[in-house]
Amino acid sequence: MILTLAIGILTLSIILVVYRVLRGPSWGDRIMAFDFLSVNIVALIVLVSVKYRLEVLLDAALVLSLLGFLGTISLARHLLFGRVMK
Amino acid sequence: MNAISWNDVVWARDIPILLGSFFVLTAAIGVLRFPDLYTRLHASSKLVTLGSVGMMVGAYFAFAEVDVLARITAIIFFQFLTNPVSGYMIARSAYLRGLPPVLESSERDEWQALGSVHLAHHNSQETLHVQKSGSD
Repeated sequence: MILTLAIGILTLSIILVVYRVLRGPSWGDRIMAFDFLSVNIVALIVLVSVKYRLEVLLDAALVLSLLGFLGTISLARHLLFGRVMK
Repeated sequence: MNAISWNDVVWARDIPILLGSFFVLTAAIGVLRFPDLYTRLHASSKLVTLGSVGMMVGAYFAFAEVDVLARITAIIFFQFLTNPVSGYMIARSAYLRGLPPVLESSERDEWQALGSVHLAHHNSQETLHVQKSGSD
């Protein structure tokens, strides 16, 4: 019951932040909203693994949190330097 | 439409999940409503970290096994390690690219000298894309 409510609240917040991705005034807003979405999707995967009793999804959540951090750092460096690495 | 049967509610699982979803919803409203990138980062990075970590604590109490504890501890550790760094990187990139704070009430700009020093350092090494794109 409360798990379903929490999954609904997470989905609502993801939909609200997709608006900020689509029309952020600057690229920093879009990168920030992308970071928000990556962390929220990790929490959503954890809640789905609790709801359906699938422990395997926790590995996917771990990998996805690290990939979201890597993508955010790459986008921020691309915003600053114009490219990702030297 | 059934009424809520309070016997099905596991309190140690549901109270951290409910608190976490409240914090995440507050962060989403803050990301939508704040006027500036820096204030939006203030809402995003802190509140989302606290909310998702609360949800993962609730997930641990739902499973209550050792291997799940190991994975969730790893996820919480990486969230606490990576979220402030990513927020700092976004704010630093936007500031060094010249995005000003919109709010007039922001009085102190502690990076005003430091930012120009950083940009001069990057310009001397020709790492900025603007100068690099003309040469090759």
